[in-house]
Formats: sequence, structure tokens, C-alpha cells
Amino acid sequence: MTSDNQLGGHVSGVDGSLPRHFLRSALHIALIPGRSHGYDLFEQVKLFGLSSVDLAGVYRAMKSMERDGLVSSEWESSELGPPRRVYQLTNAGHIEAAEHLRSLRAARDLLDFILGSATIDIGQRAR
Amino acid sequence: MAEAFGESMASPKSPALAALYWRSEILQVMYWLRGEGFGDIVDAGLVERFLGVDATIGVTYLDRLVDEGYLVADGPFYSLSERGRAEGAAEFASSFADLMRPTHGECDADCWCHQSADEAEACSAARRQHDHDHNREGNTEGSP
Repeated sequence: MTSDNQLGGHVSGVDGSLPRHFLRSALHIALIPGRSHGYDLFEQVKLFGLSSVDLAGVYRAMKSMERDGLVSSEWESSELGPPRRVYQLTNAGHIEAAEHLRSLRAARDLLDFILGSATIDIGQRAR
Repeated sequence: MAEAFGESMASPKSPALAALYWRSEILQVMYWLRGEGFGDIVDAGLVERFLGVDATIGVTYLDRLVDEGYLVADGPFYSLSERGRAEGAAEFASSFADLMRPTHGECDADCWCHQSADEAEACSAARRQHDHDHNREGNTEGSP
């Protein structure tokens, strides 16, 4: 039985400390190594720190990315169970993923600068 | 009725096509969940979360799928029927994608021509011009 608890209760979800569109960035980056299934992507973005993300949010994000031509998907047959949806980045998706990485690195550099400035300021005041 | 689902989903306007579209969307969610190992029993709230649509309207389409033999209802829960399982996710999705794909010179669902009469007129004129140019190119290609 597919219950709310199994799939998470959050309508869309990213941690409050992260921008809302970070889920899309995380999904792009999770797909850079290659093809992946929905639940595996869900697990991967949780490892990225999006602990409150739910499976429905991942499903909708993947549909949206597919509509935007960033991801392609197909049903993968299995002898062990029912067909499973598998996703991969398109060429446009790889370009978008690189852009997400660039943006995240820029954000990290900015945060490093801000935190470095704060550390210097606190050090000077302490003297 | 389909307009109530929200702008982001860009569902078809005609009731018949909208019913096909949402049948595909709902069944794809159920196939997707089944493929990921979550079984195939859902309720309206779950479908709403996955599709991002209003639960009340979702229930309407769920009940329609029961009437059409794709789902079996058990109180507030719905599961795939034998027919629903037999339909096969790949065939269903691909056939519907073909149905929805704009043919040559047609507008897609995101075209502004669906939003106003002026846009529709402008779009129609642009398509006529496009066809005209296309035909001229075709006629001149073989000429010396």
C-alpha cells in the first residue's frame, strides 16, 4: 500500500535554509554521472542535504525537467518486476547542469568571502 | 474542467482530450510508483501530490478510470485493474505522446494563440505565411 508516510508528507520540499529551486539543481547534478531511477534520485538529493524533500516533489520536478527538454526518460523493463522509469540528462540538461554547478561554486565563493570577512572582523574586535 | 488543474501542466482544453491526458498522467503515476516498488494502491491525496492538482478533480478522474476498467476502487483507495496493468506503461505513454504532438504547422499547448482572439488571428496568419513560404521553397527546389 502506498501511504502518505512512506512517501513523505511534504508538498514540495527543500530545507528552509536552501533556495526553493535547489531541488532542480540537485537533480541535475545527481544525473551528471548517468542514468538513474526516480527513487535513487530521491535518495541522492536527500544525501545532498535535502532531507525534507518528498518523492512526489522529485516526480513533479522530473516531469517538469522533461517538459523543458533537460531530461529524457523511458520505461526500463525488468524480469524481476514491473517496468521502471529511468531518467538521463539531454545535451541541454548537461549544459544546464554545468550552469547549476557554476552558480553553486559562485555562491560558495561568496559565502566563503562573507564568512572570511566576518571572521577577520570578529578577530579584530576581540583584540 | 481541465483548466482548474493549473497553468503549469498545460492540459488540453477539450473535455475528451483532457480526459485522455489525465488518464495518462494518473496511470503514469501509478506505473511509476509500482516500478519504484511502492505497489499500485493510491488515494486521491497521493495522486494530487504527484500531479500537483486539486484532489476533488483528481477523484473525478480516478472514478472515471474505474468506470473505464483501468482501476479498481476500494473505499477511498484505488488500484490498477488487470486491464490497467495489461495496458502497459510504455505503450500507453508513447501512444498518448503521439496523439498530443503537434502536426506540421500546428501550435503546441503553450502557444499564446490559445489566450486571446488577437493572438489566434496573428498566429493563424503566421502559419499561413509559413505554409506559403514552405510551398514556394518546395516548388523552387526542383527548378533550374
